[in-house]
Amino acid sequence: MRSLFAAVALVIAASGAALLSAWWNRTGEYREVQLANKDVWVRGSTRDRSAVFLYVNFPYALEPMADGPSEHRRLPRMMYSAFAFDGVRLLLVNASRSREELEQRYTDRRRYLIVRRGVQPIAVPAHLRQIALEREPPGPDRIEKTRWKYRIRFGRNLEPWLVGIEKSQ
Amino acid sequence: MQQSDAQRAAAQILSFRAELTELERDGVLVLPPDERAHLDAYHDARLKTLSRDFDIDASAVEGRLSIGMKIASALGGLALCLALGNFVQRYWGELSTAVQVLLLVSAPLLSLFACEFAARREKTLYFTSLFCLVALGAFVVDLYVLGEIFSLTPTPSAFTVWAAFALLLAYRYRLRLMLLLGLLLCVAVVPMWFYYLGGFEWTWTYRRVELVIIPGVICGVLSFRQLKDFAAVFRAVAVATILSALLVLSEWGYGTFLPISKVSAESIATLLGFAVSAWMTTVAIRRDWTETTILSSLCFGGFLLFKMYDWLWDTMPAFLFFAIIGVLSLGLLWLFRRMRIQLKETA
Repeated sequence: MRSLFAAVALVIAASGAALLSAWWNRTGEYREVQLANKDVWVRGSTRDRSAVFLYVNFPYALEPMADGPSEHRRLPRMMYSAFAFDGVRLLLVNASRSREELEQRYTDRRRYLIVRRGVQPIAVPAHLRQIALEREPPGPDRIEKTRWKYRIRFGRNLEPWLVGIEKSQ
Repeated sequence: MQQSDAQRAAAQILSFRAELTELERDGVLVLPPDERAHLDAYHDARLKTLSRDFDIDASAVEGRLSIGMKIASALGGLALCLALGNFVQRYWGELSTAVQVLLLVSAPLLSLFACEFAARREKTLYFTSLFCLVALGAFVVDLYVLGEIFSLTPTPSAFTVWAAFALLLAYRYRLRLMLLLGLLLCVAVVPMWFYYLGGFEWTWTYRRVELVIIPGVICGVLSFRQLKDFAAVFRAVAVATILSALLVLSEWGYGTFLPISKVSAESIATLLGFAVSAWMTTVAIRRDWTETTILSSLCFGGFLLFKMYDWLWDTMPAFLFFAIIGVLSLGLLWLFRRMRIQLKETA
């Protein structure tokens, strides 16, 4: 019987730890960015009620501040990335295995954002699902006329979540 | 006595009865009617007790049905896990986060209660096995989807708790399938933590296959401290992980931590692979470990085939290559025949 209780405790403890980690990430200190059409794409279907995800498409290209081509090639291996934020776009400037190293180097919190690796897909909550799916995927010949703004927050663990979507013609 | 021991005892009784009938028909041994009746009554009573206490298969037909039930429970468990996963896919988007969390956490807990409920009502544990698979599947979905909902950073912790969960259920209900899954997860988890704690990208663990040799050896050592049924699973996991790691290294020498060249790593892994698989096959035959014999001889064959391909394919026409493989198979057949004769002589 002890193994059964241990299995029940394991489920509760592991799920609790995941929820606690999410709560810790989202309370207290966070950094919010507003991204536009170019840097975000939506994956989901209007035909059923399946989950919708937001993918943040960081450009791995910019470099006035990167340490050179050799460093740039190794970027995907790194655990943490530093992005410069110009109000609309996030531009990759550096990456490292050490979060502290990046935080010490890019101290201006209004301009720089440190994230874990790239960013995992962000789940769209139920109340934003409808508006998220209104955006049609841009085709090869179609120019997207609607301007979308995605408000994304990064918490203490550098894990993102979606807080709002706005659209304007 | 375990269920497998009871099954062996019943098989022994059935074989004895069949042989006795043959002997009576040939006139070699004919028991007096009262002794025969006494013996039959004793065997009937023993079979009845075994059947009542362990739900054993009292005939060959029942045995075949049991195999069918085992397959059905494994497939059923898999199908229910897929149903759960597809449910999550189909309706998930419109549920509020609170409802999602509630469903995710309650699914494995409910499955666990179903396991316990089934285990108290059946001795063969087919339904229990099915619910255990569902519980493990639900727990995997639970942590995976919680991670998706809250964009949690993936770590090897999830794999560790899944392994512990599978092992707990395996030992609680004595289920070999759960033990196999639990041990395979354990084998995968060790290199993940090694990478993670070393500050490397842990999802790239598969690139360094030699790391699974350590948990494989541990499984092999632990197999000597297990009951008979579980020892076979420990041995199978040990053999499969050690030899598959050596097989991959023998073909892809970049995957080593040792400060040696790719060619040296491949040569060492090849030599070790042949030696270890041959040694394991010999030991397994002597100790009557069926699963180890099959796995290690398959791996030996795998090494032989891969290396023959590497060494000879480009140097000769295809027909000659396959002819050499055929001759080698004949050589192996001769070797096994010699071993069989030697075993008979020793017996």
